[in-house]
Amino acid sequence: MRTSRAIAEVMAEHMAVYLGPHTARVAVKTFAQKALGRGPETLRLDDVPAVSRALRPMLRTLVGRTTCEVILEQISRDLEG
Amino acid sequence: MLAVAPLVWVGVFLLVGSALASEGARAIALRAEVESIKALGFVGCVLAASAFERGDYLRRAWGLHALCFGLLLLRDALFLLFVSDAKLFGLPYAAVQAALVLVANGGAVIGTFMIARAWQVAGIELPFSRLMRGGLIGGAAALSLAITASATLADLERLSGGDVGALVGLASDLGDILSMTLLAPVLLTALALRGGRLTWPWALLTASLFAWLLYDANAAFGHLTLSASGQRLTGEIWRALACGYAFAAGVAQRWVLTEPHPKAPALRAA
Repeated sequence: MRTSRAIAEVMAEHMAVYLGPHTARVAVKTFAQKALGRGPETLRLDDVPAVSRALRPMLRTLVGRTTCEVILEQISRDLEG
Repeated sequence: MLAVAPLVWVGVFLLVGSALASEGARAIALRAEVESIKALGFVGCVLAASAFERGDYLRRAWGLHALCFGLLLLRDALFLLFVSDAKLFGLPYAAVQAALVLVANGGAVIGTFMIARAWQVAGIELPFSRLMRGGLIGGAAALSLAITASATLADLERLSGGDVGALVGLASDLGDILSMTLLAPVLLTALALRGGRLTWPWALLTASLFAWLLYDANAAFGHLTLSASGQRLTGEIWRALACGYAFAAGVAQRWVLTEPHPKAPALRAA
């Protein structure tokens, strides 16, 4: 089972490819807070869809719809695997 | 590679220019260079825009940049076809030229504005404190006003004297002031995204805007230290770099979106 820290790290790792490590980490923190009202250190696997939904507008703005969906799908796959 | 390409272009341009003996041949080479680099700028922006899907925020921004280059190329094509006092669609050529430059500059300003505020639309954070960021944007605005003030005042004076052709200069001046001010947020976004692929389009666009700033600075103050031909050559170098880096930024933007996303094991290794 993945820890909360590992879940946040996987999400940040995938976004860091595009956003850089610092902004990716801050984005996970900001949007986890926005979606769940909790920090990234509390993330559970069943929180991932809600955080992904919160991240979607940000990613769509910066990388467009197609790449946004690829990133979110890879995050989901990586966390399931 | 993309960061170096515009410098190589300028190097080749200078080599070819120095190898040509006659003034006429140099003028033709210069015209060919100016139009080619604008065409490359257009291609780069089209490549960037078409990498996004319809409705994507940055597709519109890059599309507006492409519109700017496209209209400037059209203006130049019309200039080659018509003498400056000829009429076009029943209108004086100068008025048509002014309208094209006005719309082109409007497109570039709105496109740059959209790219400059993408961080805000996306909801990511920029580096440095709010005060420091404000200082940087204010500094860029003050610098752009200082550089373009004399040209803007001269164009206003010409316009008030009934010279419609001054509208071309005025449209360009206003576009330059706004675009140069936006240099600061574009640079801050590039810094926020450092370490990621997206830093490249923003960094290369910053280089393009900075080259436009130097192009205008040369136009305003170049005569203080350079001969007329030296000032013209310097201006062409900055213009080539500005258009070249716009091309590079567009290609980088396309690369960001078309390069496959690495799979999980590759991410661990990175």
